[in-house]
Amino acid sequence: MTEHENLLTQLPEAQPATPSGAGFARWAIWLLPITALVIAFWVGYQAWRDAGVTVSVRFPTAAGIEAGKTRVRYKEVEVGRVTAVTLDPALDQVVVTLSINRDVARHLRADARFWVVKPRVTARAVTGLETLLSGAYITFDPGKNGARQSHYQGLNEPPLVSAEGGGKRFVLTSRTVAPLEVGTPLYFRGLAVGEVVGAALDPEGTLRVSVFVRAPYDEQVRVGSRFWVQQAARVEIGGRGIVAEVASGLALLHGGIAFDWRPPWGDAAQAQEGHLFPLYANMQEAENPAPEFRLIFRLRLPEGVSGLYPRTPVFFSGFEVGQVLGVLPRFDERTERVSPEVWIEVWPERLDLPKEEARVQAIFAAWVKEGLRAQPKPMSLLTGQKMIDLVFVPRAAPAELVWEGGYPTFPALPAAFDEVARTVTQLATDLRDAPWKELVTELRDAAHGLRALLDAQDPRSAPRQLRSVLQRTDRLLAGLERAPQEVMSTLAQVRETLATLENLTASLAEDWGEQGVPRAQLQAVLQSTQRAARAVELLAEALARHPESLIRGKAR
Amino acid sequence: MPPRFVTATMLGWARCDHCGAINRRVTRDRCRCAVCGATLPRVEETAQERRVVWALLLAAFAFYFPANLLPVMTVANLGRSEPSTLIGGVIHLYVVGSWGLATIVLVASVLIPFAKMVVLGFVLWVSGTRRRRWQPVAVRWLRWIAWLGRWSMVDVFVVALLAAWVQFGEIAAITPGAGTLAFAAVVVLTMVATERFRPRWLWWESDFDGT
Repeated sequence: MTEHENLLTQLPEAQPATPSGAGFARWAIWLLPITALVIAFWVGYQAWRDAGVTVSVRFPTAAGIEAGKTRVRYKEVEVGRVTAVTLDPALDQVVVTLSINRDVARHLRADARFWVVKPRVTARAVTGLETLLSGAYITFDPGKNGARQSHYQGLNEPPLVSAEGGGKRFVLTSRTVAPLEVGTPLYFRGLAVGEVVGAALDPEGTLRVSVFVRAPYDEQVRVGSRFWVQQAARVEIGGRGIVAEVASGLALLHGGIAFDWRPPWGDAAQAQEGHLFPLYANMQEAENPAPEFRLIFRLRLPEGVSGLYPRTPVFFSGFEVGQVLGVLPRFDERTERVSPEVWIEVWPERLDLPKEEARVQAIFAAWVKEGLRAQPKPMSLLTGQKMIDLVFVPRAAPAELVWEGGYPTFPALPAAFDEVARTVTQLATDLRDAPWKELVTELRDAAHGLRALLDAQDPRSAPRQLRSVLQRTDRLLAGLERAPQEVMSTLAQVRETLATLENLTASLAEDWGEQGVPRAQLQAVLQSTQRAARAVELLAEALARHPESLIRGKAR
Repeated sequence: MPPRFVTATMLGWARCDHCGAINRRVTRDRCRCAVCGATLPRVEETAQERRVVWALLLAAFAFYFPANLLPVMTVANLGRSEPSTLIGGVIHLYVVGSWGLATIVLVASVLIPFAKMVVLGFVLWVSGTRRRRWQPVAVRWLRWIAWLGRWSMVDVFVVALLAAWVQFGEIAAITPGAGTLAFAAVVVLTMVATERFRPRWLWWESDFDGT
């Protein structure tokens, strides 16, 4: 060590070096953290942008949804994921928290709709098959109005119509049952142009059906358009004949709603979104719709009437002014009889009456006082269809509209058809109960009397002719007794016989009158024969009209 | 106040880091070793060197946040891809009950890198202010983080190995995420910063070496 100590005094001198760079080089090192910060911020910004916006959606069930795994897709593009699945405090629903990409979430509106895509098999289609492998995912329709919300109510079922496609929504109202479900197609002249997207009952019990008509067919919906239920197949046998309709395509399976517009149906202007339309039960009703304004009457018919059903028409001097709403049996405590109570509605507009209920009630009350009565009548003898006719009956028993339980009772007459039926039945009964035996006996007696008379007279002058005539009459009567069916054929013989007999007796009278034959006796015989013949004739006529009743009588 | 000890600089000498020769300083400017020609450390350049370490440290700190918040890897399993972040992984492990494992991951991958940067920052600060009472603490911590540095890349290697192993196409695949790159950047930058820090800076009374 010591031998080196002096070396310290001979240290080499450091060589001058090129001076370190300009000021820039000294500070350039700060570019490193600045760059790092920029990169970090940029990456952070991207992460923030990709992390997305948190939106919570409520679903009735979380079937197929898994936190961290289930994706959110829009048009099959992944735009987010499910970050959490929790139950709401009341345990009613599942709250699914979604994280949706920021630039996609920007387009979410207040009316956005979320639903779960999973395999679904319905009668109309099989959808979501691709989710069998990849698992269910959540998708949405961004909506159109309002600002983005942080909470949404998810749909149970995928909506059939996405707002993106373009088209209009309309609302159909119906008082009757319509065989509809969400997805029931909407037809315009046989072409499916939309669907039912929702159906609900409003507090008054009116069915409100939301339908969506796709563009460009939404232009075909006019203010005056009419919508009706298109059943798969329908056969109607009514007073107007037999009507059969068969729907086309899917409507055969599902039924459907059809709409159309024709010039007499009113305004041709395009209907605005959300326009209200009545939904008619069928095409006939749509073509001839029952007006909204109606009066309801109750009819108490004295006897049961068959053939009155809901929608049986009500006529007033040839105009169809209403229909039967229903027929109910009513037990009368006093008379201990069950009689039908028929409820009808009358559309005063069809009679050009004013649209004021009080006015029209007053008019009907006045008409009833003047003798207006309701009477069931046959509408078509072929089909047995009935109608209710409002007729003025001259000299009718005085009656008034009686208000009971909020509805007026309209005075009614027994069914006109029943009167005819009763008469015919009475006739048939009379025919059946006619004293056939006695008539025949009487006829035979007459013949015997005639023979006895002839036998008593001079056989010389009693021509064989007469004898044979009598024999034939005898045979005829025997045949008549045996077989009523043969009456028609024997009737000619009877006529012939009687004619001959008359001629003969006339000539006999001449002969015998001179020989002192008791003329009065002969006359009585003749009269008796004539009576018998008339009876046979009556019988024959009756048989010609109603052969069956005779058969039924015979069978007894 | 007299100096506690004598350094080469205080005597007007400068030791060459390359050949070890002691040179006599004739100027305060930048000069080279008379023996091997390597640039000799200069008092002014010490400040510059410290700035470099500060810059590296800040850059590492800047990458620390994306390293923790971005996915370090993406596991694709049967069509579902599942990115996982460090923090997310810790939370997931904790939620599923493996709190021990969660603690290990939290300490090894989150807390230690952060501690390293904090310690290095503290040491740099101490070397700047020259507070005597902190000097022994700072130098101990500095040695500790230098030792820890060798384990720092474990996370990155795990991801790299997994990404190499698990490549079964549609069925399962692991791809490294941006978080891994950021994490690697944190580790590399802290390691470089630690290496560039000269512990002797801690002990110097002034940048002027007493002359």
